Amino acid sequence: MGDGLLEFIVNTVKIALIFFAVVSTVPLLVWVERRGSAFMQNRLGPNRVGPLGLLQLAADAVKFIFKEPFVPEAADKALYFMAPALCLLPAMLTFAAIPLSTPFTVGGHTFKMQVTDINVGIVYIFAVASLGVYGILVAGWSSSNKYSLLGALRASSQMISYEVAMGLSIIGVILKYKTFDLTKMIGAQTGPFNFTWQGHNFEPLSWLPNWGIFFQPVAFILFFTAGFAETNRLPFDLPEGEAELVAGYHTEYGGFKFNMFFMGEYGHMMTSAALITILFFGGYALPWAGGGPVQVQEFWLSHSTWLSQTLSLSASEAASVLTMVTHLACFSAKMGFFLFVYIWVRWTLPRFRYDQLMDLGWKTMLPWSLANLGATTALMFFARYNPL
Amino acid sequence: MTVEDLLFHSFAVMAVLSALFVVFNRNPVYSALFLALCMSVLGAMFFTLNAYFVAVAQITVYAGAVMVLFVMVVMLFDLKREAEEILKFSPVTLAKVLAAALLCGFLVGTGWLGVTAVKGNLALHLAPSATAADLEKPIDGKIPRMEEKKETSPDEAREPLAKVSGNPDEDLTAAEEARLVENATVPESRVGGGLEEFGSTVTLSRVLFSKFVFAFEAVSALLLVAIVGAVALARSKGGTHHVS
Repeated sequence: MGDGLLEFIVNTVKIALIFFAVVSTVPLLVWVERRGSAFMQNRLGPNRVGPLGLLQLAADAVKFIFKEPFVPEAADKALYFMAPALCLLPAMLTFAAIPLSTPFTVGGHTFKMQVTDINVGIVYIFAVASLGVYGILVAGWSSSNKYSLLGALRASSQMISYEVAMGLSIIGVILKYKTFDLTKMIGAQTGPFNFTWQGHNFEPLSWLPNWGIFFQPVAFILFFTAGFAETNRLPFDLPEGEAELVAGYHTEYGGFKFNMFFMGEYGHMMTSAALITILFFGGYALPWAGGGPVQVQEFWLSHSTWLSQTLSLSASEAASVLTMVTHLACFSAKMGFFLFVYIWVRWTLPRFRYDQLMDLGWKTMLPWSLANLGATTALMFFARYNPL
Repeated sequence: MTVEDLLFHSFAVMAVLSALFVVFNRNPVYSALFLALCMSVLGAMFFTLNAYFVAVAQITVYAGAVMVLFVMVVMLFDLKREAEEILKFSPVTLAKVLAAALLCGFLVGTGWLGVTAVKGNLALHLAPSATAADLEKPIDGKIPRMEEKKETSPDEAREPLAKVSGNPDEDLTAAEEARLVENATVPESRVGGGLEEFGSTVTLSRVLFSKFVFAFEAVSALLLVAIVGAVALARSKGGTHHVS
């Protein structure tokens, strides 16, 4: 019973911690976005409130909370209030399946650095992410505003279209790793670049890490592009094209309700940055650490006496904690880079026209992802064929 | 009451309530949204049974794809006129009501048959000789025993049903669904260490592409025919836009 209670408490704490970590990264990203865009456009950006303008975040948060909650007269009240939550929830739920680091052991208990370890992690993320459309649709319909409805229709058709290409693009990756499990995918990307061809193992470039992007470059481009469309960000931010639709599906939302849509968008962005890291860039594993997480653990086993003495832990436990911290830092760095790329692209590329967007989704990305799937299947078949 | 029980009962109540709201709600948008909720809750139930892939497929296919299109279409139409139409008395309305009543009778009948069948099979298959060790047998190319005993666990019990009728959720109402699942709950002693293996995609696809391969292919052919038929119907009437 004690173990059950401990598990319950640990899981609750983990859920709360990861939720707050995601939510509190959002203002930081907003700051990076505003300062970054200012830098790219040769402006200064918010630099008055606090050092480097960092306290602007607090000012914004206070403004969001204390704004007057305005509800349109003709709105469907129940759905109008539910929509922001429907938007935020899937974004937060998808992050629950992301393995952030290696598990660590303290006091005989092993703690995993993710909310729940599902053996079909990648499919779970896609399933829950596909529920995000409801929030947008409900928001657009319940506001009873033509701009909201049009924005919602644009957003949902865009998300559905790009979900197809996105889903098909990663099947090649899944075939390569032979698993749906995100942790096992990371495990498959450790060590130097190597592959097996007809019974022989090749290691042509030993300085290259064994990352997914070198095996599935087309899948990476498709997944990365579809990620922008899924998060409704530039160059695919037609749902909220200001010149045409005021602000799209959240035209009638202000204050904290708008903030929830905002956090939902950034949550989706973080999940797709994390997924790109895991699928194509080795996840939390350190590149050029030949043996992967095991080697990091061995390194810390001989260098962790200072921690085990100060915290009175056993050597292996202290090593596992330090390994976890190393990998968490590695994962954050990789994920942070892709989050920055998201922001970078937003302030670099102009917006698509709607027919161009649909053409790109259905007539370019879908055939390419199907071709990638076909090519991967053929290659894997011939790779397994052994002439001897 | 364990946490699993608590989760199961709350999900069951939610599924039944949302299914009832689908039927009794006047607003079609709410009905569609409640149906999506019902599908998601059924998916969550599969999660509590360690059948992760079935759960995720349930959510993706029904809540994530099918119901999104439903909600989108319903939101675009002005359905007030249709709502008044159905309350007017005319021969067409009578035919509609009769058809609905027949469908209800059919659903209740099949549901009842399904429940009794599962009850009978449970008594047959839950022999005391079967232990947790049976579940843990390694899979070496041939179908493990737990698949041959259909009632090892609820979603396994559902699998053959699903393959024969195409979609079990359409044949059973949510209430019966919940009852069916409840009747087939695995006894504590039979839940061995094989649960990880049991819900995995490897196990599932092994059964799907060996034992049930004919049913699987038949259902996919049926779905293809339905899609082609729907496209043909839509085209012959001149698309979705009425010329007034």
